[in-house]
Amino acid sequence: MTTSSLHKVRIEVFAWLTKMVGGDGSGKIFFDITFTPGESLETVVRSLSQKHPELHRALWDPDSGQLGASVELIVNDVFMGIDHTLETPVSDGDRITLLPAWDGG
Amino acid sequence: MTKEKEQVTEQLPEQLPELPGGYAGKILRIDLSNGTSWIQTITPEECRRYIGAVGFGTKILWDEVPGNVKWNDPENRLILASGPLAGTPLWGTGSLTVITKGAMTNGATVTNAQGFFGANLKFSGYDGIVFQGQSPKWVYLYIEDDTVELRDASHIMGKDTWETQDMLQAEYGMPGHLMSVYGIGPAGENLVKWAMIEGDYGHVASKNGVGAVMGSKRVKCVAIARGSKGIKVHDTAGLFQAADMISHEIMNDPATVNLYRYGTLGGVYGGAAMGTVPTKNYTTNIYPVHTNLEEWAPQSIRDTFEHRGHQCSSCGMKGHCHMMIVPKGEGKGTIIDEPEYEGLSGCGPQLGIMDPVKVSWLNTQVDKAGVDVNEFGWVVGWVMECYEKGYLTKEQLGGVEATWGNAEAANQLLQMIAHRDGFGDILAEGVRDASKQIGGEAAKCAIYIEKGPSPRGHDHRARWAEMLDATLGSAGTIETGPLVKPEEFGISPQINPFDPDMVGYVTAVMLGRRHFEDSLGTCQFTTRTYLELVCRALNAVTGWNYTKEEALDFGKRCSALMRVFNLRGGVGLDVEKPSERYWSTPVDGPAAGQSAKENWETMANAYYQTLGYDRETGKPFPETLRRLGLDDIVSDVWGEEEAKVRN
Repeated sequence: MTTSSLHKVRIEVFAWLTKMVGGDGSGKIFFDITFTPGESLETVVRSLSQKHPELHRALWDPDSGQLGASVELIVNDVFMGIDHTLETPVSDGDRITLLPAWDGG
Repeated sequence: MTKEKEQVTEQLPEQLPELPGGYAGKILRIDLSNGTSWIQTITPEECRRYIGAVGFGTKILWDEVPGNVKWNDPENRLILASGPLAGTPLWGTGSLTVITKGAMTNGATVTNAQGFFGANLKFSGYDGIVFQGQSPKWVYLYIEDDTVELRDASHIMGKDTWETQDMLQAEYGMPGHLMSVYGIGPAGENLVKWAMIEGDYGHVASKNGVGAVMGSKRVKCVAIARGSKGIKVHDTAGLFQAADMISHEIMNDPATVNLYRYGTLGGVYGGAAMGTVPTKNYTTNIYPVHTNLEEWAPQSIRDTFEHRGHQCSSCGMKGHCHMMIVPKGEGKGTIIDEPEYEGLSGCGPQLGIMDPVKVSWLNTQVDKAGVDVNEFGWVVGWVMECYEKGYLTKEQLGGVEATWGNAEAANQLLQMIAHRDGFGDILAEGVRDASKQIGGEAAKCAIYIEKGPSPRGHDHRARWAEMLDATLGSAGTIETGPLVKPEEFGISPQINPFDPDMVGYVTAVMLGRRHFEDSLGTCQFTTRTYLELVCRALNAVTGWNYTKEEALDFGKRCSALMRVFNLRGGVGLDVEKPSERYWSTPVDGPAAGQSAKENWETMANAYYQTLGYDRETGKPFPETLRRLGLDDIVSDVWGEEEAKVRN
């Protein structure tokens, strides 16, 4: 593999989700993930979550396998659903934020 | 002090029918005009059909409040009620729901507070209280088991909501949770249109001006002692089992574990990256540059204050609802309540105030004055933007320098509003009416719904579902709310929030859960799990076999009844519209460029179609009313001939 074929995205795990990847529940923890061109957003995110069972459980609904309700996915500071879906191929340098969902009250 | 006893009569029936568990079987009726009270009994069949607060409340509104009765008319009803789970060991079962014709929309209102009132009501032997008429002088209602008295309120007039509770608890020697006092502050006394009802130090029924309704009836508060009556439960073991399953889910489900740890305290922190926190009156989605976001992390806020838990009746959610001490600045050393997210947003980023200490202090001042913190944010944020742009002057504002981030100025405006002093008299009408009165460029900056209900404390330009819900809903605030376990009803846990068809469809399908929960006497945070489990708890208490599908249909029935109630009163489709600023397109942040306005008709059509409502008239179709069990009102809504044609 040549250097030019190495493609990376950065996944930011935010706030209380960091507890699920070895953090203290605050701030951000970054993961640089190498991917093969054409891989989808879901594939890349799963490649991280599969190494962290708690995060995996929080991300993916255990019954349906769909993205669960407790985590928001934001790509390059833009909500998923605008430029990206889970099936969209990621691009070199993409920044993916995993953000715990918050509601009001 | 001397307590003046009003004339009170009580007529108890000789024998109450055998009721399901969880019910006292008695609604306390109060006619303020002549100072009388009586008991309205309820049957087992009515318990099953109307369940509790929202079910009974909407039925009473429909039956007893004609369309020509305005919110401040003595013939309006003010209903304070709970439900069959109140006072049980299930977490968060002190819930109070207020139902009335509200001041902001002049339409139906459902607004819910936590604390202990609902449990105390049940322990006193009542399922609800209904006020009608108007007292000739200011009174408060005192309840201690079978003692029900309207008492002179002279000595507590002008007091804020916390002072009122302090004074009455001291007067009766019932500190802590021995007595709940839910009432109005100066804002409600002065008929501020967005006044609320507050109690137990920080719990609020805040939507649609229910405090103004209470003020219009000249009732300062309801003081209710803990009560000594028991609650019958059909299957005690089953109830404990359901309660255990629900609390286990809340503590362990990734969707709620943070709620368990911190309540809604982290919303400003987490919402920053989502663009869902209203910031400087929707002029941006990015916090001011001086913001230290880490100060807003929930644990950071907890570390900033000395604090301790102040949980509601039976609640084990130890990370939610705290009291704390102001560590510095204005109010240093005083006790305040830890804000919920909407208090943080309404007193914080929306006003450009980014110091959690100042924001928390201001939030408690809002509670004490007795106004809705959502509308407070929209009103004061509008003033600050207009001040910055020169649309409002310091002279107009009575000398207040309403600059962004100025917490003292925000409090000055709050006090002016609560007492209707100077420009506060205009602001007391709410931002819709105030902005229209000022007009010109200022009017274009206001965030409101033409119908009148205050948008909740998020930037809904990134949450179209809530914008749609708040605008088309019939309860004076959001009705569907955030989705909870939609997969129980075949819906994906996450939908694309910018897919207008899906937004409209899902908002309609999931409509009903909140009205069901508010009818049980529970807190929506402590039942934020599978509806099937909540039904299991209800069934254990009552002996019924309620299903989650019935639960949603029950809520849809309440909503449909409120919709036709509103239409009967002249609140129709012409006011189902956001203001230009409310549905403007974000210029920055994660939802930049997304236009709710351009997608509005698609969303609204999907909502109407899914619910079975007529897009032309706003009415639920006859077949919809019949499907929901509202056969008896089809003719009232559609007329005899039309009802026959559509049969």
